[in-house]
This record gives sequence, structure tokens and C-alpha cells, in this order.
Amino acid sequence: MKMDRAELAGTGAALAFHAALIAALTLSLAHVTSKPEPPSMEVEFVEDIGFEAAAPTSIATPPPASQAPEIGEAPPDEAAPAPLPPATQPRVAPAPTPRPTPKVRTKPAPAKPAPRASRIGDDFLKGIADSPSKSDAPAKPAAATFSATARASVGQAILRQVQPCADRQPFIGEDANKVRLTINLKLARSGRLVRPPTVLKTSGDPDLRAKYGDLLEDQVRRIFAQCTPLRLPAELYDTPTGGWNDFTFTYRVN
Amino acid sequence: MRMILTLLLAGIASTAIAQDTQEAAPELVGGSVKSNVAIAVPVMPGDPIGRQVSQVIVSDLRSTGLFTPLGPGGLPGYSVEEAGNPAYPNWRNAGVSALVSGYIEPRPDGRMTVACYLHDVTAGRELTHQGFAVTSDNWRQAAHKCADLVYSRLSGQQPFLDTRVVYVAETGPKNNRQKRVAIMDSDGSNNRYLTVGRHTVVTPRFSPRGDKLVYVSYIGRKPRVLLYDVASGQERLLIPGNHITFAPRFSPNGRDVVFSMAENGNTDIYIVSASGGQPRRLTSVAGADTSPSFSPDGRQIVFESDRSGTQQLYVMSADGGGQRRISFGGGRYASPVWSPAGNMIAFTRIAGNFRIGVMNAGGGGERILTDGWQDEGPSWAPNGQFVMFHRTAQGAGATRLYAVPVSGGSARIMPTPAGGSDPSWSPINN
Repeated sequence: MKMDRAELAGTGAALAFHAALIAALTLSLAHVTSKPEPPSMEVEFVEDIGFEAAAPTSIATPPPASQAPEIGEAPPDEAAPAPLPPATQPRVAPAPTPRPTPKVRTKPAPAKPAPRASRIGDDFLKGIADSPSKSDAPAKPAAATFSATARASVGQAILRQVQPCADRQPFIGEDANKVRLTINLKLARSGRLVRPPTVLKTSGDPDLRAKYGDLLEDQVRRIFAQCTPLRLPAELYDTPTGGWNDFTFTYRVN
Repeated sequence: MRMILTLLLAGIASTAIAQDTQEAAPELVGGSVKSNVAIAVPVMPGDPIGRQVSQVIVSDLRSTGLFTPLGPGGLPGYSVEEAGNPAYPNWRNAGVSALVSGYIEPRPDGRMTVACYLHDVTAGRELTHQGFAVTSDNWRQAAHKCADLVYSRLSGQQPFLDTRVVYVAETGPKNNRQKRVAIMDSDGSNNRYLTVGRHTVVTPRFSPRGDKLVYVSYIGRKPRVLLYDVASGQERLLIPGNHITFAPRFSPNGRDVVFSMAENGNTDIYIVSASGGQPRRLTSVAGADTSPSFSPDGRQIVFESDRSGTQQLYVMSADGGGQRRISFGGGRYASPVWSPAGNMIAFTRIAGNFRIGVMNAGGGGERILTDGWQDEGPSWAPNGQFVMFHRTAQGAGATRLYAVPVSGGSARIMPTPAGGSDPSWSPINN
């Protein structure tokens, strides 16, 4: 099949255009400077996952002052849970002479191992100081949120820290494992208890509850007397969506 | 279409929110370490008797098998004022988990108060306290009460330490042994003999209130059931006349006594009012029916019978109806006793050796608790946590009292001045 003149002209023009395009591209690519590869990023595997807030920790502009009072929080340096009220009298005994007031320790007894070095700097609280903000425009900080993941992670961190003390609890009865306590903790920022653990609910057979309820509560009190203060992420202590200042868990024995 | 999609998406979102808010609370699991709790029991201040009170508490707590009591020797003293407010850090350093403190104080009525405090040293708090007013010669009971308070608070079990044991005291050589009914505190103190030993006696048993006994005395070489008042020492035949009667036990309300009587060559189980009257026959099947024991609700009786050819355990209604066998293991079964909670029956299993065992009240779930050569005659502690029995050593023939935990563990010997058999554990003393 022969091409007519018009077809020959079109084909020729197309070939010429392609040749010109290839030449132009070759010349332009030859002038591209190749950027060096960025240095490789070192990845650190951390033990505690999910405790850090999603927002960046360094906040350029201080947030406005906190307006809500902090309720029920103990001073960070409190030595121990508040001492129990003095013992009441035995039922048939006459009143004993007044007892000396309990000695108040000014510092907690350093009975527990030193906490691990925190990855958070000493000045991490500067970003949420109570002093009024000097910035003109009130910044909107990316506040930490106590998501379900964070809650689960904090819960696991609490249980992991007290588990060694839980493991030491003595056997109290073959059927004690059929009773389960629901316990609420009120925690200070220091990781200490604001008040003794509170039993919200005791579940199980009524007879077994009567038999073992107090003993299990005793165990919980011993566990948190021995294995506190807890070390938990400060930014998740009290967020608009919750925090570890108020923590509820269940307790049972093997 | 758009509306349907919107509703579907809203449904999915609300489900997710609900799952988030109803998230199960995390669970902490305690270890249940099977080790004894270390308890410090220093000398109670206030009176020289305080050292002995503390010693009795230590001895009682050790006998439970749950604790490692320390003291009173070797522990620092404290003042009366410190009994309710001890220096917890000091006791923590002593390596104990709990502290029993207290004091002794005279009362205007001439008695004394023994104040007893239990502290959780680890948690740094008082767990319980109670005071006991006793006469000066009854300080041991106050010590037992204090030990019971500690045992109950730390174990969750009912008390059992302030109790007595009635048993048959055996003295003399094997071929000429004197057997007397004796009563003592459950720690072996205050032992006294209730019979003089003129007749051989067996199977003394407490009434539910602990104020009366029934036992068998071989008067004129025939076994006869006698009813004994502990306070007055008065006694009388349960069934007047010349009947052969044995294996007596009180009903749970204390008003009746169930026992065996051999009449016309057949041994059957009868019941009679403890205040006297005509006995009523409960069994009539050919064979020897004996060792009856009421269930704690008074509705059933367990007993042993050889009606099948060998000694086995049977249960019947309190009126004698519905008799059925509950033991099916190899060998023979004897001397059944219903547990205070009503859920178990202790027995003697005879299969070569004699062993003490327990089974479910309806039969089954059998567990052998002892491993002696000849262990027999079980009696429950009032809290159902221990069974006392007597053990005869092979060859020597010496018989002693032992107690074994029902949950398992080794049997411990009960301190008696001489040999002992057929123990019966009293209810808790008032």
C-alpha cells in the first residue's frame, strides 16, 4: 500500500517532532543537580509505648493559666498516705491513756529503688506553668488527650509497677480466687495515693465475699503501700478527657 | 439512600463510643504465695502476766499452721500507749508482716482487761482490736481469744482456738490400760479427769453448747451410754435398764441423743430425748447400724452399716427414711461425722491401714488426710478447718491425739499428759 503525499508529509512531521522532543529532554535532564541523600535516622525502641502525648512536648507559646482548681491532689512531696485515725478503744477496755501523736516524717523513707531516669527533661513542666501568659495572642496548645490507647497503656504501666508486690501476697484460701474486687485509686502527681485504695464493688458468691473481701482489700492496701509511688507520664495526669489521677481496676488472686 | 447511609454510619460511630466507655477495667492478679505470715508478738505491757499471755498467743498462732509467730522473747518491748499506735517502720525492719500488741490493765471489779490489737505492718494500719475482761486466773482464755481474733482476721475463717477437747485419757500398760474421760483446753492446758477409771470408757462427745457430754462406760462389762453435766459433774444413764447402748451423739439443737442399741441380736440406730423418755427406732435392716451423726441442719443422719456385707457409710432422713449408701471405695468405712458447715463428712477408711478421710456430704470427692498406721475417730474443729483423731503407733500400742488441716498438710500432735483417744472438739467457749 502506497502512502499519498499528505500522509508522507504528516509522518515526516511527526518524526521530526519526536526527535526534537528527545533532544530537548536529554539536554534538560543533564542540567539537574542531584541532592545528597539525607542522613539515616536512628530509631530508638522505647519500652513505654503510647504514654507520650501525641502533641509535641515543646510548646512555643505558653498556654493560658489553668483556671480549674486541682481537686484532691496531695502535695508532690507528701511522705506517705495520710496516717490512719488513731486506734479506737477495745470494746470492754477502759480508755487507755492518750497515745503520743504519730511521728510525722518529712521525707518519704527511701525504701524503694530509685526511679529510672526519665526521658522527659527537668523543664518539661515549664510549658504548663500556672503563671499568666505573657504572649499577646493566647496560643492554642495541642493538649494531651487520654485516649483509649493511652488509658490502656497507663493501666498496664500501673499494674506492671505493682505486680511484684502483688506476686508476694500470701495464699488466703482455695476458693478466694472466686472473689473479685473493683478498686479505685486517687493518685497525686507524685504517683502516690491521695487516700487508701477504695473498694467500689465486691463480686462473687456472697459467702465467699464475706469470707475473703476484707482479706483481699488488705492485700490491695499492702500492694500499694509497698509499690508506690508510681512512675507515670506527667502530661497524662489530668487531661480534658481524663487521666491517671483517677484509676479503676479489678483485683483477684490466683 | 443518603439517609440510610447516614443512619448506618451513625450506628457504627455510637457502637464504637459505647465500646470505648464500657472498656473493661484492667485486672491485677495477686500471687497467693503459700508461705506462713510472719507475726511479731512482743510481751504485752501492763502486768507481769503479759509475757505468758504473749507466749500462749504465739503457741496458738503456730498451731494453726498459717503463721510464723516471733516472740515474745527477743523482741523489743513497748509501752501501753504504743499498743494501739506502734512504730510501724521499726516493725517493718524486723521483717514481719503483722504485729500483735496489747496491754493488761486491772479493772475496778477485780478482774483484768486484756486488750488485743492486730496491725498490718506492711500497710501501716490497725486491722482490728478487742478487749477481754477475765478473772486473773483465767488469763489463758483471754490469750486464746486474742489469738482467735488474729487468726480470724488474717485467715477469714471462724475462730477455733478458744475451745476444749474431751477425750479418753489412756494410762498404764497395753494389757491393763486405764481409760478415763478427760477434758482440756485445745492447747493441752487445764487438763482434768472427769471419771476415776473404775470402768473403761469410750467415745465421749460434747453437746452443741459444750455444757454436757455423752459417753459410753462399760458398767458390768456392758456398754452403756451416760449423760454427763460438765459444770456439776452429775451423770445418769441415757436409757435406764439393762440395755446395751453405745455410739451416742447429740442432735444439733442439743435436745436429742442419737445412738445405737443392740436388741435381739440386731444393732439399730435410735433417738431419744436428752431429758429422758422412750427411744424411737430409726433403722431396722438386718445388720449392725452404728456411729450415727446428724447433719448440722438436723435433717439427715449419716451412719455406718454392714448390711451390704462390709462396713459402709449411709445417709438417711432424721426420721429414718430414705436410707442410701454413700461410700463406694475399696475397703471399709467407719465412724462418720458430719462437718459443721454441712458440706462434708469425715470418716475412718479401713483398707489395710486405718486412715482419716473426708468426702462430700452426698458422697464422692473422697480425700484421705492422714497416713498413719492406725488413725481413727475423727472430730471436726468448730470452724471445720481441722479434724482431730487418734493415732495408734505400730507395735508400741501408744495412742495419741492429732489434728490435721482439712485443706491438706501434716498432722500435728495434740499435747496431752498421757495417751489419748476418741477426741471430741467443743464449740467455741463463751
